[in-house]
Amino acid sequence: MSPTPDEPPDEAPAPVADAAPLVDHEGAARGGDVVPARQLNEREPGQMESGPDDAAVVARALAGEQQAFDELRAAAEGVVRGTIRMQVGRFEQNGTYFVDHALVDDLVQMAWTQIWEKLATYDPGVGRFVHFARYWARIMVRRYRDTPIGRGVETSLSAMLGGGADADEGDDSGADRLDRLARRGSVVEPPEDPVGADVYDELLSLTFATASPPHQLIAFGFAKAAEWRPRQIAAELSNVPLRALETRLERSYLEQSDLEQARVQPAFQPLRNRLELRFDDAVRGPTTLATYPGLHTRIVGETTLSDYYTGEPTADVTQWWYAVKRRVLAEVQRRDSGPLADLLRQAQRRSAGRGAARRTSGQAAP
Amino acid sequence: MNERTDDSAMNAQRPSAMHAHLSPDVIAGYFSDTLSLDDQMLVEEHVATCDDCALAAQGALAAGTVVDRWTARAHGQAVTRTVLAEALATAGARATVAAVRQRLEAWAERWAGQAEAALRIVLDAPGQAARVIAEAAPDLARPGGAWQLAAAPAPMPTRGAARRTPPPQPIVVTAGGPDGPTASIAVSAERGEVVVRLDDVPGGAEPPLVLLIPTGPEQAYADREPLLGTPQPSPGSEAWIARFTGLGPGSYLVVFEPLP
Repeated sequence: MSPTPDEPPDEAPAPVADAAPLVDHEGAARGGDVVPARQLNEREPGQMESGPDDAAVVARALAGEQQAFDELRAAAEGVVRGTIRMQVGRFEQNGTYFVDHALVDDLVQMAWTQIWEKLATYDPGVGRFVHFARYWARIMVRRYRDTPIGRGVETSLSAMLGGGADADEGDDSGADRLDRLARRGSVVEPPEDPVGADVYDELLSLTFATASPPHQLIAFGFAKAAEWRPRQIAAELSNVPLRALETRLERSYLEQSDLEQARVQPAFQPLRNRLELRFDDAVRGPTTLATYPGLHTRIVGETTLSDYYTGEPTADVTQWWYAVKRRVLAEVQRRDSGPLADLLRQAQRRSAGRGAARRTSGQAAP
Repeated sequence: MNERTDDSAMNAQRPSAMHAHLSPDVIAGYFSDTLSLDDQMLVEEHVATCDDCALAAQGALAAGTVVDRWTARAHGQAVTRTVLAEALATAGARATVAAVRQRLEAWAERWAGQAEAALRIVLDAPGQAARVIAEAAPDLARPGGAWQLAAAPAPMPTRGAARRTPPPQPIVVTAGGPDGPTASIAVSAERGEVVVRLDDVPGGAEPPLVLLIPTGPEQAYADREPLLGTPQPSPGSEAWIARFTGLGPGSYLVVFEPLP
């Protein structure tokens, strides 16, 4: 499900209860005008009643009725396009970033070509048509990312897509074309961009200073320090007081990283401090406070992970992992200086290269 | 996005404004799988028409990749790469021979933070054995590197064919194969010495430069200067030798210039 290369969780999480606000209250920081958003109560995304209704429209489309396919496309176009735009297509010009509309249009078109080719495999018992379309949009993004240009290699997309030895490859699908791009071996791969030490330094400090509840931070920390899976965390750490776990966590981080104490330990200080507080002083989230009324007067460091389980332990630990990641990502987005902010700008520059490469190639939408 | 009326998670704290951008929390929720499927699709519907949020989302995606990749081990490896990059810069700035300086600069530019092979060494206090951790620095090896260091069974000769008196048993680590140059590193805590021997270097080719970088926190700051070893022909053999002597207890990295 995750569009990022997640590793630790054993299973997909349930949505986290302490919901995020919908609107960016710091919208000005994103630079600009407020963009009109669709009034979302007009309809649900991809609304087409239900799976069986979707199946009827799909059947008409498969029978050759163009209007039926247009209906399907109208219902899922926003989700398909948005899925792609969440992950692909950005370039910089004169210090400002823009969406690479030509690239997005190409990928949307390729996605719909693929959806059409796979339409006979749609199963209404599995989900609505919009879920089916979204799935193939994600596949298209992944295939694009597997191409040299998708990985940021500066090369002419038109030279790879059109003309030359492959000009006679026939009327193949967009996916086939992307697959062919991915197979090309003529482009020299650059070494993977390593993440700088200062980025990890900041990430360590930032994470343990977020408002995530201490028990979530400790579980997340063991996934990062010792590379433990949620199942192992639940099996081996559930009944150890958090204060002892925090000490063990720091030691594990030092051992695994081979870093100096002075570089690591200050990052854990905010967490250490919160472990000495009463639960209702250490935790700010109203949902978390409401979830654990029996813990309010307890000293956090004296509680154990098992005090926080509301369901199956491994699932809970997995959910905590995602909740911490969400808070970290939100905090990273709010930073406008420092190594993490610089790293994001570098990523934007790489995206800029991709956009520039496409534009100079003159590649048109298929 | 704020006009949706169902009771999903995204409804919490929904303001009354009709038009808005996605908040960092919502974008973060999307990329950390903490939104329901319906809410994910609402985000996508919004981003389909909002360039600002599409750009912000792609930044968050990049950040998410870094968060996923982050482990204590990766953190330590990143610090080591930084140590190597800084050592290359220092050695390059101090090199008095123009050709050597150019090679160090080329190494830094093309492979900053990476080497043909790297070895971690811990020299314990005098009287104790040297500890060599050969497998601890593969993260510093450049992609496609030809050398993989591994412990060797016997000490290597470093002066011609043999020694008159047997030396204290050093720890030896070797790398290379039958079709290319090979490297052997002998570490002696007794003598505070690290000797690098290079064999089968093709005629006319320069042997790789060797850097010895103090890395341990126990070493005084003044002793953290990287030492550059320029291998010299060994009398009586075709080997090339770089020798580092007078080393105090502490942790070190031995790194080799990437082969052409």
